[in-house]
Amino acid sequence: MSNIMRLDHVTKKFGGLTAVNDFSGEIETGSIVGLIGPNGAGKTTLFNMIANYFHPTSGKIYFKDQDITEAKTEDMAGMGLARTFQVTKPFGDMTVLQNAMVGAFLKHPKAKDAEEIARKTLELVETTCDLDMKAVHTTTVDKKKLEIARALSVEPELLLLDEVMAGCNPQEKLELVDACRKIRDTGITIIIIEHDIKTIMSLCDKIFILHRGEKLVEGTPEVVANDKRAISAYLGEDFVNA
Amino acid sequence: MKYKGNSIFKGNFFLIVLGLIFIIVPIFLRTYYKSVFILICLYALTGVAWNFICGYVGTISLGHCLYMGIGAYTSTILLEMLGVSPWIGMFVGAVLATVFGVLINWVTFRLKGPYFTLASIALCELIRTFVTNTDTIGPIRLKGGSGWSLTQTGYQAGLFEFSSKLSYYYIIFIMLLLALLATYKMSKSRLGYYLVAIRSDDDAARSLGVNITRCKLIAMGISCFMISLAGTFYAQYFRYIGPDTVFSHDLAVKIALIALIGGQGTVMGPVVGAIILVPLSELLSARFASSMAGLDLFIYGIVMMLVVFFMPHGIDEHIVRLAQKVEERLFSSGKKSPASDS
Repeated sequence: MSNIMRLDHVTKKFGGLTAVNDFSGEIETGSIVGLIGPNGAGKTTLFNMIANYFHPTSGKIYFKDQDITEAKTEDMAGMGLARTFQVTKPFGDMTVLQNAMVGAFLKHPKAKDAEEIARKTLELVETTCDLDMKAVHTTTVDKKKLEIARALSVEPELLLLDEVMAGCNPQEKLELVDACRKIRDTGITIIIIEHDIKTIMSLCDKIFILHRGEKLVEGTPEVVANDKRAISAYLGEDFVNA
Repeated sequence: MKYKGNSIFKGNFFLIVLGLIFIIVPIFLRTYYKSVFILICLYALTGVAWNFICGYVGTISLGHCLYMGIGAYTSTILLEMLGVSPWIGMFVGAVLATVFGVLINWVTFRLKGPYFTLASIALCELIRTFVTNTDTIGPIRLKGGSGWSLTQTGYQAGLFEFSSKLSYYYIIFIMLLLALLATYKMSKSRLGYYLVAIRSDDDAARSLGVNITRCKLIAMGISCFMISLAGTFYAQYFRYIGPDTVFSHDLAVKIALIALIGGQGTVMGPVVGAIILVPLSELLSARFASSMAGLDLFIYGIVMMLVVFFMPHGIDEHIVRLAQKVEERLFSSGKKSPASDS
């Protein structure tokens, strides 16, 4: 299997603080990869570097064998990488459908084609609200789904999901897990940041645990769950017994 | 699936009525009221141009008359010095204003929020001061603070001079219609979606592949083009331009207020704003010009405050809502017979 993304000794420093230290890893094409760790471990910082929201202090990031370390954030969508934000950022003045259309316009300049793509992605994530409703007025879970649908509308190969399940109830989480699987089945690789360990263990093919900016453990859910360092740093003894 | 289709022209009926009023009524009016209609269209056009960038993207420019002035000066200088017809000069001016606007704002768009606004004020003041104190640049005569009074050509239509106010009126009316059409087309296109997305959240827009600077510059270019055409009309209609009229801060604020009060980021908003504000200001300044100069601006301020308090999104959306209700009443009674309506 080939790798869609490779991170090579990536480090990010904010002044004196090292947010991510010497992170290396590979993301297999067509997999769902989890990124977990305590608060402040550097997960979102890593995401922001992958999405080129800002650039690493040192190290290289390769996407489809291309060096994207210094690329511009607005060029990433065109290259096939889309992201969601931890705090949802819907375009409030627009309807749900129009929000998704903004994403679809990237590859479909005609409004009609863009609308078609937007409807498809909104259906894929099973948005239940009225599509002509203003995005600000939707529920939390619909905002999360919209965030995913909008990112999907740029037709990416790699999708970054930043805590999409935070603030959702168990039923809604199941829906989102379902949506992630469906997205993966269309051939899109997913990297997901999540705090709900059970969800992530059941969903991911591979997991990275970050701790204080460094990669602590990497491997399949079984490997990670039984790793002593992971248990002491993050998972806790209870998890093993559960 | 129960997706509702977007019915675009909800206020269709009233738009047509409004259009017909604007086409027919001025024919029967006295000269003075004709000129009020001309001013409504002229200011609506400047508001539409301003709205194209500032309303849709939400970056407030308070120096937009700068581009209007460039249009006015270019066509006037071409006419007076080389005898070029303003019909051609207006497009030369428009291209010049567009190039200037895009180049300058390529720099100023790096500024956010109030800083962009301050820069736009400073820029306009800079040009005003420069023109006021400059008689000639090389072979080009600016005529400094005294400004240009356009020479009479004996009402030649080819030189943009007409004997009847009605001709001026229909020209500016058609220009306004074209600008509205362009705005409407834009709002339904990729550019329109991108601009509103940028206004809502530029980080999210960027993550979806929106090139913010490019989108803003395209919109700015179109906006400058439109407002500069209004500038040429201004020069030809009033037959005088000077740094204190076309580059004045009052004018810049007036343009912005018309769009803000009418409704930012809506197609018809600036028209609504102009219909309300222009007659108001004409009435007030005609009535109180000698006794209380500047009262119109005072009233503007009060109207602005009321709008900000009670209708922060502008008057337009309230009017549209009202129009929809009335329209439903008018047409639904005929369609469905159930006992609800008589």
